[in-house]
Amino acid sequence: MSGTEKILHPFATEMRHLTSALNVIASDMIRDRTLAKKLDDDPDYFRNNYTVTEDELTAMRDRNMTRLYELGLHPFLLVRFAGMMGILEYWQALGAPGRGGGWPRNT
Amino acid sequence: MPLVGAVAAPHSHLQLFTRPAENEKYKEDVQKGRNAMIALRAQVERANADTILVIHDDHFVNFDFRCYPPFALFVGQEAKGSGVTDPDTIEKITGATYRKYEGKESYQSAPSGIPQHMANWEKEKPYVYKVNTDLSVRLLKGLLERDFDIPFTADGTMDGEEVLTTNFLNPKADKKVMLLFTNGYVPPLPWPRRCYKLGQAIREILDEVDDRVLVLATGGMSHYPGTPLYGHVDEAFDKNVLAILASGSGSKLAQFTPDELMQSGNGELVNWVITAGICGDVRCQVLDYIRLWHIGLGYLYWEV
Repeated sequence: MSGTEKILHPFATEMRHLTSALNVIASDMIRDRTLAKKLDDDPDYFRNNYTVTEDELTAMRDRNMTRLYELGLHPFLLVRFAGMMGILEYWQALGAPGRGGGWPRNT
Repeated sequence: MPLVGAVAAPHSHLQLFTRPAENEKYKEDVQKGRNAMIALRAQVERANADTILVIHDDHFVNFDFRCYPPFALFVGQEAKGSGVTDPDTIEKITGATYRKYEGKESYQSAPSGIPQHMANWEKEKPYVYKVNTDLSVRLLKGLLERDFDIPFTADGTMDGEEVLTTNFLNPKADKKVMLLFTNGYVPPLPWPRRCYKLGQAIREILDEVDDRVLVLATGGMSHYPGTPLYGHVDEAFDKNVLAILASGSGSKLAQFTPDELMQSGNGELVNWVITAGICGDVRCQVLDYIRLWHIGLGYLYWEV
């Protein structure tokens, strides 16, 4: 597919994920079920415990998938994040088979 | 005769889901993949292995952004994980049995409402495998002796994808496992030439032991989860890889660069390259190649 390199550039070449705190938060979220809820209820927890920027924190709280990718959340963690936050629209937008409403939301 | 077999099999959760039900072609393709898995299972049984060395790119369960090594060996006594859907469905499809806990009715790995393999929130895991710990430790020491600075971990958590492949190929958990975790998706990736050499070193060590080891390379092929290319599959790259392996030229996989793997959505090929290094330039039997929604699935075994 032409243009693949350009499309993947932020991830595969720039490797923004190596320096973004978003990835540490999402990694921790995989191990700690309370963090998904804290994201909505206690944003100061993240300000106090991670070197996250306000832009990054806002993108997470807003479930802004495009912005999270741009800011350097690793794409695979982006998928995990969508799952853990119950962002069903993410898969619906992709037209993924079996993701058209069979899963209830957890938020 | 320490190496008794080697197979490569996908770990995509799409193999367990056939929805949307109205799409008959999609359902047929999923079933073709399951059939290929069953054929690979027969190959595993014919090999009469006592241990399966599972080479798998960790999906943020053992590795994370606090520490993400290119490779790591598990050296504990027991490995365990959860499935990507409910155990009864998995048993129906794969035949895999699971541990039932007293007083526990649900074997979900996460609360209802999220895909079951997205998190690692439950400590009790229904799929439990005994580990060939002695050989794992011998492998670790042997690799260090051969100048591979392999990290080790005592956390034997298997992610949903790793469990899925093992569900199909070791459904009764009657074979011990060894777990070699890799980085197949977080650039910068390990170089394929290094992966191949790692495989060669593993083979040297396996050649010294009496255990009957079968190698299982999980993963692949082309897919781009989470990126703007989600849903695209580089089928030409995949078919080239399969042709290389079918012709008995697996060492050619060592010539790829990490960038080529990433651009083709084939980071997980590192697992296959290590296995190619273990097996050397022997022909592979490619059982099938199937394109599902966002991924190309390759099923094969090496004629070792």
